[in-house]
Amino acid sequence: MNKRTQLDTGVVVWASFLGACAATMVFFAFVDPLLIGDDDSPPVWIPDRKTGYALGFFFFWLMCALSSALTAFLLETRSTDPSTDRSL
Amino acid sequence: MNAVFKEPPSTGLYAPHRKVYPREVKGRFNRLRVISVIALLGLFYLMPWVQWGGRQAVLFDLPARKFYIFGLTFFPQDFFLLTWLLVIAALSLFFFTALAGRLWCGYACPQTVWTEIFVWMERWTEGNRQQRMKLDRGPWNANKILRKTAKQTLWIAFSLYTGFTFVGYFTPIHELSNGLATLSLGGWEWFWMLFYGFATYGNAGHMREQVCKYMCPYARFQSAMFDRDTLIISYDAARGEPRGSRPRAVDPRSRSLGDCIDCKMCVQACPTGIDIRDGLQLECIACAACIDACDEVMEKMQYPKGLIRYTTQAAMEGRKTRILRPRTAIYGTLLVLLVAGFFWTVAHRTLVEVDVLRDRNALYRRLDNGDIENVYTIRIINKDTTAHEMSLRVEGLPDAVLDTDAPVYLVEAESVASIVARIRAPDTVRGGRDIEVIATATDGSGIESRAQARFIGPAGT
Repeated sequence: MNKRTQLDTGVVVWASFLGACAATMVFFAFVDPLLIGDDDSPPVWIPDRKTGYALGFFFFWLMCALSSALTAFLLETRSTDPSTDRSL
Repeated sequence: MNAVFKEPPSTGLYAPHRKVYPREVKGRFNRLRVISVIALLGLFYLMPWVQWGGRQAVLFDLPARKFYIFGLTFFPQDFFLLTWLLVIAALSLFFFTALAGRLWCGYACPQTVWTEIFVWMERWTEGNRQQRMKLDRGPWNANKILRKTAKQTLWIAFSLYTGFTFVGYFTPIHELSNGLATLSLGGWEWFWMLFYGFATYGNAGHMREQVCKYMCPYARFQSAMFDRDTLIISYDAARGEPRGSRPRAVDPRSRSLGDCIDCKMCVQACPTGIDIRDGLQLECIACAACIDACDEVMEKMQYPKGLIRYTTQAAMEGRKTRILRPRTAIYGTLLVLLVAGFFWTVAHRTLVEVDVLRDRNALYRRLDNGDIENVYTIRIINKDTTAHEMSLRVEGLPDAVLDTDAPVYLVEAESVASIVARIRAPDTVRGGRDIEVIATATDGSGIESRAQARFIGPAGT
């Protein structure tokens, strides 16, 4: 990985971390992790709220990272149409 | 307003990174920062140990879904207060930026504050700027290994303690320290302790000014709040130029020199590695280290201080700086209103709240006598510090009755009671109807709380 890719990765990881923090906060303010699921009892992979919060956080982080990475990729590989090139 | 900013160099965002060795400075702004570091970090490290009314004064008890802040208890239902608080925080940032530039960056940002502590530890173990540069250039001898090991040990220990304190805001810190001493902590406590500790170590130890340059969104948009009357750190080029070295006894005017002796102390002191004499730059976090460094030199040269100083663009152009202007007036007024409203809302918030959840399994049920029944789970949230006896009733649907297993329920202080309630209405009800569930305290406290709900009958008109 060259220096530039490293920095780009850093930006993606960081921006998605911020997004995940906000998403986790808002989501779990309204949803109790123990009430997730169809039945009266939560699924086995949420044995307690702490695990629920943590899994939720990493899920949001992953999703935000995918979105950030896709955004970075599309911006990086877009065609160089002179009319939209802001560096000119 | 962007005119004050120097064009970024063409190498841009991805310029190869040079390690910055900030020179230690003495002076009034450095004293101010030391006071700020001690106050803010002192607050962070001590707060979890403060007890209030028999429990931790500030505790975000996520597993129980309750936040304790001194005498107050907050529930997820109070989420809008947190949002409100964040809006106030954002607006304060705008207000203070418009007024005094990047005050936040220079004195209060966790990145600055923790970096400062880490730089102190670096100085204790590796010495001053020259010694650190020499050590890094030199071979890996016993001295270097010893000093580097000492620094890393201090950094890692401090980072781990920081992670411990951070988790102490979410798990009662006495419980946490006992668990740590007996190695009986849960997995998530370990994980978040190491996570936050590692983040502190990485950001304050290694990333430092790069966080401000590459990661901080505020650094990128703060210039939008700037105008000609905003306090900035500026080099007085008119007074300083042409720069050049000269003996101390010589009058600079006789050699047609300005007051800048080009000693580069301001550059060496800069934690982000810029030269303030090139003009205001995006990288400048307004820490005022260059002011302190330059003032010290000016004093030695017996020139007036303030060649680099806090000033405004208006002042530099010889005009008067206006503190009161539309921008600050609007930010300020909004801020006062929001803060006042926040405290009023906290003081007047309802102590008991009702939440109504419809039974998920059946829309309605027909009873033997033909009546229609809907089943609900009603949650009574008691935020008060005393228990309350509550009874429930329904309004908004003629002849409807609300039936629960017990006539009254005792809802303990700061807790939530879940009650299954059946609402029955005569067979004449068709379709969905809006109803209201009312919880009333039967203990004479006068507390009453209402919640909207939906009653569903058979289809038809």
